[in-house]
Amino acid sequence: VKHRSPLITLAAVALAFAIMFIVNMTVSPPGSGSTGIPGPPAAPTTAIALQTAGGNSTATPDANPGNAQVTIDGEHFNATPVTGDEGL
Amino acid sequence: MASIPIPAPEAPAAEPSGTKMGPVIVALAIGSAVSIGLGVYGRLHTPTGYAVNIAGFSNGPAAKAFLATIVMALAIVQTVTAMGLYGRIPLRGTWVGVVHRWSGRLAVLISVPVAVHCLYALGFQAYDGRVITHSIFGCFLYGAFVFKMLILTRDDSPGWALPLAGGLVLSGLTTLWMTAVLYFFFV
Repeated sequence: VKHRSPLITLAAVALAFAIMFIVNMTVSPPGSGSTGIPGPPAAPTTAIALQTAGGNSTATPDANPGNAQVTIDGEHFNATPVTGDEGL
Repeated sequence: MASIPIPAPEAPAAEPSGTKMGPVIVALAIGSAVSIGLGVYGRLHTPTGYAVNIAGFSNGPAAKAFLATIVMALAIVQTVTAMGLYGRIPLRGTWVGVVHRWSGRLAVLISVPVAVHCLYALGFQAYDGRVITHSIFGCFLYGAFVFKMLILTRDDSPGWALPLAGGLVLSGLTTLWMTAVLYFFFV
């Protein structure tokens, strides 16, 4: 004799898992509906991309963060990490 | 010459309804695969650190602690009704089976948001003994649950298999509750 109801329960649980995962992936952006658990630390950046109005910019990662290069409208600049002490 | 009657061979005795280990092993393998799969996902998935919150709670851990406590209470109902079904305590009536089934279904469904939050927002972590125990038993619980559900579909599994499966689920859940909710409330 085969009992079907446990298989239906299993299927319902699998469906509930799928729904919960989809809801979490699609509905909850960071900072909205958050559970208050701090996220993992962000990966350190080695270069800063600058965007100017009407201009193109690219950032070139460098092994030495202090020597990162940023290209804005064809000109090369040294990129330095923003520390908050720049007096901007 | 008198013939000697040869007794007709007796019909073979009806084979007792034997139990089979094959389905138990298959169910165990599938349950183990589920546990390992959850663990691998939790380890490979980058924890987001956030998940959908449940309205009415101050924060996610409080919601999870509340839901997990409901699941633990339903697991106690499961244990008591299972003891009644096996004649260990004087519980009689068809309602015992109904309560056992529905308390189990409700418990596992309530546990799903908690488990998804753990897997999606936190992942499988191992930075101290409590956390790795919680991670391992979180994966173990759903494997044991799958094992139990698959055993339930077979009448030819050994008599010890279903109580074993139920005991594994209860053990997993108790360990999870103690390494999370007890810690949340009292530490």
